[in-house]
Amino acid sequence: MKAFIVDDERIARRALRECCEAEPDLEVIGEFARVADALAAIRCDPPHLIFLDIEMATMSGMQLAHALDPAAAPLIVFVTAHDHYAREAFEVSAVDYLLKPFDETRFRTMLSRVRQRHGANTAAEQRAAVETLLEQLQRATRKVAETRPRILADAGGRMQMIDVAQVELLEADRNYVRLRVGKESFHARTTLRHAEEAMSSQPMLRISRSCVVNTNHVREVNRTLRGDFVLVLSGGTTVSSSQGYRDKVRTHFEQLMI
Amino acid sequence: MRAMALCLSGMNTEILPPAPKPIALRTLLMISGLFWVYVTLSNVLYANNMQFNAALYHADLFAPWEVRVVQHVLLLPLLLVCYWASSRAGWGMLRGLPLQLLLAVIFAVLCYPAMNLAVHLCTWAFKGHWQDPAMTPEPSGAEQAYWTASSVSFFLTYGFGVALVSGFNWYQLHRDSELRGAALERVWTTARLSALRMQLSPHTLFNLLHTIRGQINPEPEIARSMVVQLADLLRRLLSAGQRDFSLLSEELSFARMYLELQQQRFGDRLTVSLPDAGAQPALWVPSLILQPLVENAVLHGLDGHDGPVEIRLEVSTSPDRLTMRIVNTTASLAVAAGEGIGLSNVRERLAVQFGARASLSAYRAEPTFWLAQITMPALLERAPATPGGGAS
Repeated sequence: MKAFIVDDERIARRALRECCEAEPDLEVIGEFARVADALAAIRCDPPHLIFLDIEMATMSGMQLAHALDPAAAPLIVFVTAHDHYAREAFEVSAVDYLLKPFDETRFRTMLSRVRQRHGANTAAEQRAAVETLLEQLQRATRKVAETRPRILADAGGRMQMIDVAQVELLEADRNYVRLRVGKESFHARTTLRHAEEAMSSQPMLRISRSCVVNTNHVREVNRTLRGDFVLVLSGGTTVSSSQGYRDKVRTHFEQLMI
Repeated sequence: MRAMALCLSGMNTEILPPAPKPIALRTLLMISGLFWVYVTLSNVLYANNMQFNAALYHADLFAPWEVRVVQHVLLLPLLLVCYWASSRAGWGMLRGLPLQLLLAVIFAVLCYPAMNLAVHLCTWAFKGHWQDPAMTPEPSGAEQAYWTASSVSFFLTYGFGVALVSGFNWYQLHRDSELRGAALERVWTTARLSALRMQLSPHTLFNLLHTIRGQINPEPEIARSMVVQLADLLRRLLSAGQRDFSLLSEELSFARMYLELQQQRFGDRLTVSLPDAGAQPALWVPSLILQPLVENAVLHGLDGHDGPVEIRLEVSTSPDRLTMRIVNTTASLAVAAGEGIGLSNVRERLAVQFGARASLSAYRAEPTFWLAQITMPALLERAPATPGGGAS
């Protein structure tokens, strides 16, 4: 297999080259510090495999991957320090991704998947390769769901963990924060600000001083004669914006409509 | 005290109720309006009643009800202005009190003129078929007597209203200050929780780095894989530090990573056994709650002797309780020191999240075994809504 290495850091390229040199069937035929140079070289003489850094100074590896013709693109392995790119990487049909720092063991595990894909000539082999990929994608998706914060809340004396993606509404209620989940309502011993922080992966919108809505769960938006917004949430709860937040709510929904 | 001040300076003021401020104009108008309607009704009814009695002796002592109503309507704007000024004047000895008194006197004194004005207005308005009943000439001095009586009576009425308005104002201030206090307490708790979450002690980190440095020349392969393990550990530490709760399986695999790194440091001395992280039920625990206990077990297990150490982590669950136990061998002579910062952090976090429903106990179970045990509610994720269910 002929491979390119694209990384703007010299020492990082050397570490990868060392790992590649230990493999008899792998040959590094080009090293690039700049995405533009790599793109030109790939179009001129495509390799079988590219090791691609995601965060580079001028242009991201993800952009390079998008610029390639998906039908004729070489196999891509993303090399990154952030694990939150995993899902995105598979979405641009990467074969795998390597988390920095990696050692020989991880490099070889990755390479075996690349080989599986590269040598997939028969239909059965190709199906196996796709299944491996699918499984990796599922694992990445599950990880996103599992690492999403949970809020500890109480309903009728029973403590439960609530996935922030299910929370429709946060309301300050004296010493508690009331969470609305569907038709149910829970109390969390926390502050509205802290709960909002935990909800940061969700598109939250404050509609009054004591009320924050997860806009993923807004089913209907109505307006009263006075101009206040009345939101119907997916569980059927109705909330209305206060006068002070009316303009913010309006800007939010206007942006959505454009 | 200083920690408190620090945490307060950084907090978001938006979640706190606003600082005490005088009663809102709308509330003031509503309260005094209602109060005045009541006063008007009571005065009119009283006068009518008395006039019935007086009529028995063919005397017209009391003005008819129309006049009284007009008088009270005329007085309403004056009353509102006075109450507004009163709510802003405060009750200071030097300025507030004299001002309150002055307002009351002004209002009370103007009540009788308002009555006279009302009589004139009624005469003018109902020219044809309405006659001022007080046609009979008044004895001299009567005017002053009426004025004084009316002033004294309305002074009292005015006072009742002021008491009502300021009573409501005080109730509101009291309630706001209570809310403020509660909000401060919650901010404080939250700040403390996030400070407690950073659990890996810096000296452990530097010791690990030093071990890796020592491996670079003799065993570069091991050094490289230790760097990767340390990176994994830090990655998990960072992501868990951003969340209040993690899955039990995550917590166990974190403990395993940490213990495996320590095993690299201490080689044959350290034996560890952990439950299989993959086989655990999907229970949630406070992020990194085990870490200080595991760190303690390594530290105290190795301390004071150079023999082998065994660390065992056990998890057991019942339908609603989760028990996590860490057992380590110790040198039999080692003296149990006072509770370290790690243990008290764990204790405090459990108390903040679960109150009395969770506990930590740490003690020497046997001469050569040290046991630390966390008992807490078994926290399951809320099941996704099932159709038909979920009524609350």
